Amino acid sequence: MRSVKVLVVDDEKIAARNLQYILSKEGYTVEVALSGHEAADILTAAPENGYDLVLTDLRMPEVDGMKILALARARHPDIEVIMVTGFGTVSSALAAVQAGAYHYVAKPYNINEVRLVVRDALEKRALKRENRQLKEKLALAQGAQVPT
Amino acid sequence: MKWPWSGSIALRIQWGYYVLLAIITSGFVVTAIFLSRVEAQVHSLEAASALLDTVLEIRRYEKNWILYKDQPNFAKNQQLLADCARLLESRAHEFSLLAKTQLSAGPDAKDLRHVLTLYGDLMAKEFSGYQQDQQHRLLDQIREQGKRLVEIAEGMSRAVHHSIAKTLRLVKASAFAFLLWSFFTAVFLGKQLASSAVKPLKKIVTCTGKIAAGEALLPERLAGDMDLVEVRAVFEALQSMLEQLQQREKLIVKSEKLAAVGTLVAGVAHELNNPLSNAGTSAQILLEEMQESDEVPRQFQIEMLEQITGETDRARGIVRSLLEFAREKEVTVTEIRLSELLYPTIDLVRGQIPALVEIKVLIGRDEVFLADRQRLQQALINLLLNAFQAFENRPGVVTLRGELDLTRQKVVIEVEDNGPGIPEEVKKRIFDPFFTTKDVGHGSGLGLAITREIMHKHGGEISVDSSPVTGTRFVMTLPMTSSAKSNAGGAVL
Repeated sequence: MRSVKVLVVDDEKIAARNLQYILSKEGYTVEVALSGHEAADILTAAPENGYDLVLTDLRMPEVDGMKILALARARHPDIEVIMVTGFGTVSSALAAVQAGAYHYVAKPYNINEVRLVVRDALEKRALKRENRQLKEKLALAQGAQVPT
Repeated sequence: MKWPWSGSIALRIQWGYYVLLAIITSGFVVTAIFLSRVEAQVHSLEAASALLDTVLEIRRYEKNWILYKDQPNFAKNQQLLADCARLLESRAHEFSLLAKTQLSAGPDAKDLRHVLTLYGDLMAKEFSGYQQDQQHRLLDQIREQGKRLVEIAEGMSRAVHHSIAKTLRLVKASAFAFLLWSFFTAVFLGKQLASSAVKPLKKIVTCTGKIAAGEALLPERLAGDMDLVEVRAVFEALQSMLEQLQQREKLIVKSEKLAAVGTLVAGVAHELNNPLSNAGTSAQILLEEMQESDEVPRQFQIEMLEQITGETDRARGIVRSLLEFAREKEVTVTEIRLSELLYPTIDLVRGQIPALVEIKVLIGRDEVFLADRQRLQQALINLLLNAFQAFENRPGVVTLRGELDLTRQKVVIEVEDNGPGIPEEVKKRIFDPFFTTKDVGHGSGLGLAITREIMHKHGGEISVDSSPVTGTRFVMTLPMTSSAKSNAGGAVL
């Protein structure tokens, strides 16, 4: 089984690199995008469900976290998105969760907290995927029985 | 010249009424004089009529005597002659008045008296002569004098009639003249009063208009023109209102500054959060690594610590620029460059930049010029925040352009957005203090007024051109060697 692929999006290089470091240590394959545009390109170029998780800064010029959330979910149906928010944007983060993000992490954060949220998100994603695969198998099995 | 009525509008109205009252009174007096004259003339007419009647009676008895030659008719004639003389005596006053009013020098009471004596003598002679020889000798003379008597009496009566008619005509004419005189006086006084009350009021209206337009006016100069108590009172009230207004404006400008600082604090807090978070994360990573292993690579340790110090410096820089902005200071010019002005200003408002708005900074020649950096930053922040608000969640570009015009020795800074533009009627008032298009509580309307004030203090100016197609462009132009202007005549910022 391939390792978990995570995309970290933040226009602050240090913040992005730190997140990459923290998550790489967990054994995930972590890629970094330093702008919304770059993240959009990466997500568009990747094969369907090529990414398992996106951690994105909410507030970025031009292409912001909300846009990345929409794009990621359109391109990769099983993907989970976690918002990273700064001071004073918690209400926007909640709006993002309502729009389908898994959760949000408020800066400044505890690195173990981030790991925990990521782990939970991936667990949910795995369950979702498993559920879907089982449903597909079931449908296939039922479909095979129908002609008889 | 100091007239008793020049002190106040109330005095002018009072004196206006006095003048009208005097005219009306004089009109009544004149009419009364004329009427008393008419009354006297009526008496004269009465006397003249009585005289004429008596003269006619005298002639009737004269004719009777000549016809019947009897003594009673002669005696009656003589008695009537005596009556006539008495009448002339007793009504001498009326007849003398009559003589005065007669225009042409016609026969009067004196003539009548003379002819009466002549006639009486002739009658007496004729009577005694006739008694002696039954012969008439003086009949022609008597008839002639009798005729004269009648003519004089008739003339006097006619004269009285004429005189009365004349007086009545005079009364009519004087009443008409009086009416005209009062009418024109009333109109004239009304006009004078209206203009004396309205002229200063118009002046006040002009002044209030000027105040409304934001023009600083010198109340002493205006008060000097005012000689009317009421106008002075209004001006004094206006002046004290203006002073209070200026006082309040100062307070509002101060609170606007505080509000601007508040807005910035919110933005800066967001900005501050990023380096703090980064430093915190780096510290946590390093701590975790060192807890897990005794041999953390030295290079990794250095990298993390550098990140921590770098981000801490960044946070300190943000705090320092906020403090510089908030500090209350007079305009003090220092040598600065456009790059030292524009980039840190962008950093101050970074937290307020809407997600869909892109900021471009274009700097031409970047040499030193003299200006108050904090004030220019404040001016720029106001323009930038305005530009951001213009987009209302739509995508757009804000271009901050700085250039030095060495030939004109001017610094030109432009803030341009490709937003929806400013409507013409808003543009006219955009620099007016307290003018705002934002909802109540969302803007005091002082941002652009403060920006213009800052430009003025630098000896510079600000202009705006805007269209719905190309967006809005504010251009600030200030001399490269602007010296600090005193605060006189302007709000303390």
